[in-house]
Amino acid sequence: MRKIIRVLFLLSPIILLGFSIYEMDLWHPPLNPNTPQYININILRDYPDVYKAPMQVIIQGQIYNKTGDFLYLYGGDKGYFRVNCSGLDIGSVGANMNVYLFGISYYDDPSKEYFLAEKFEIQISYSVYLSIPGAILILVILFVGFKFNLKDFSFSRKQKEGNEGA
Amino acid sequence: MPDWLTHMGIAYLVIWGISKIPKYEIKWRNYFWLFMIGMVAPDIERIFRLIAQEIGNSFFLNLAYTFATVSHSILGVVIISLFIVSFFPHEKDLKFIYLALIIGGIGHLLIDMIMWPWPGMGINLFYPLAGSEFSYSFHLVWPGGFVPLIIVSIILLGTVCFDVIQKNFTVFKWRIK
Repeated sequence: MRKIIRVLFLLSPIILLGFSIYEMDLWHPPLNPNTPQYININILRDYPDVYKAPMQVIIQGQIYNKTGDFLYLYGGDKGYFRVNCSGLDIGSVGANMNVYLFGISYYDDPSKEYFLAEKFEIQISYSVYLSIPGAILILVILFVGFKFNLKDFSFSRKQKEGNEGA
Repeated sequence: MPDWLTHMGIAYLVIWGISKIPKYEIKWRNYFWLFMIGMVAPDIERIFRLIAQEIGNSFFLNLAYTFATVSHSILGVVIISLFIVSFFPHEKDLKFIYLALIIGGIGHLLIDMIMWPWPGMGINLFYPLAGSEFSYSFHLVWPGGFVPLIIVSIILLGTVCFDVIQKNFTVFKWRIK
């Protein structure tokens, strides 16, 4: 592989990063009423003063009813969704939990920037932490199954495996 | 989003199945582990998300989430596979390595499609075509839980038992005497 091609390949994730930054800045239209919406609680936690409102909260299958005002959901740097909903007790939501909204919005009317949430579903997510042993296993595969060359930071197959399958 | 362990478990089951067929085993053995790496590659942002989560940085956390949306697409798989291929510059069969990584990546997307809602209605397979109209999911399980891992672990245990009875771990080319 030519060095210039290798460098280009190494830099290729920049394209994905560019798309990711674009997605962060994108102002999404009001949420689709037909689908549950996904929100990460860590983002919500940056605005702890707005978690009041009457609503139904389901935590691991148990239903809680809460009361209050509005919930504002962070929607990138261009604004917030104002969610008129049945409140969310932030104390009952811990780190690593995902919040799903079910409700009514005005998806076809972009002038209305709010979402009427009827139900929240909170799921504990272990997937990020379960990925740690997975990442360790991948490193084991890379460093045991392949030969690492520190000189040019590359991997190659060990001799005994050969390339007969190519 | 099943975790890396689940994805690797499913990749192992595929590899295990192929290793039992001598005709294909000879052809594809060289790409077994690359396929497994490809199978977890779209989740490459997990490491950064974990760090962002621990330090409580919402910008990087949000970036990690949007990166996951982009990387969980055919475009994302193609680009991440290119990135991984760049770490194997001395191999002569780069096309096949790339193909193994892409097949693994597509497998990853198919597995993630069992879940919902992620994000919203499903996976934006054809990103940059995004939104609910272009999101795909089989709507079978909630993401982040143990259900897929438990199912995969049980099947995986079955294959280990099978190999112990046969005294032949074909994936590792290891025979018990």
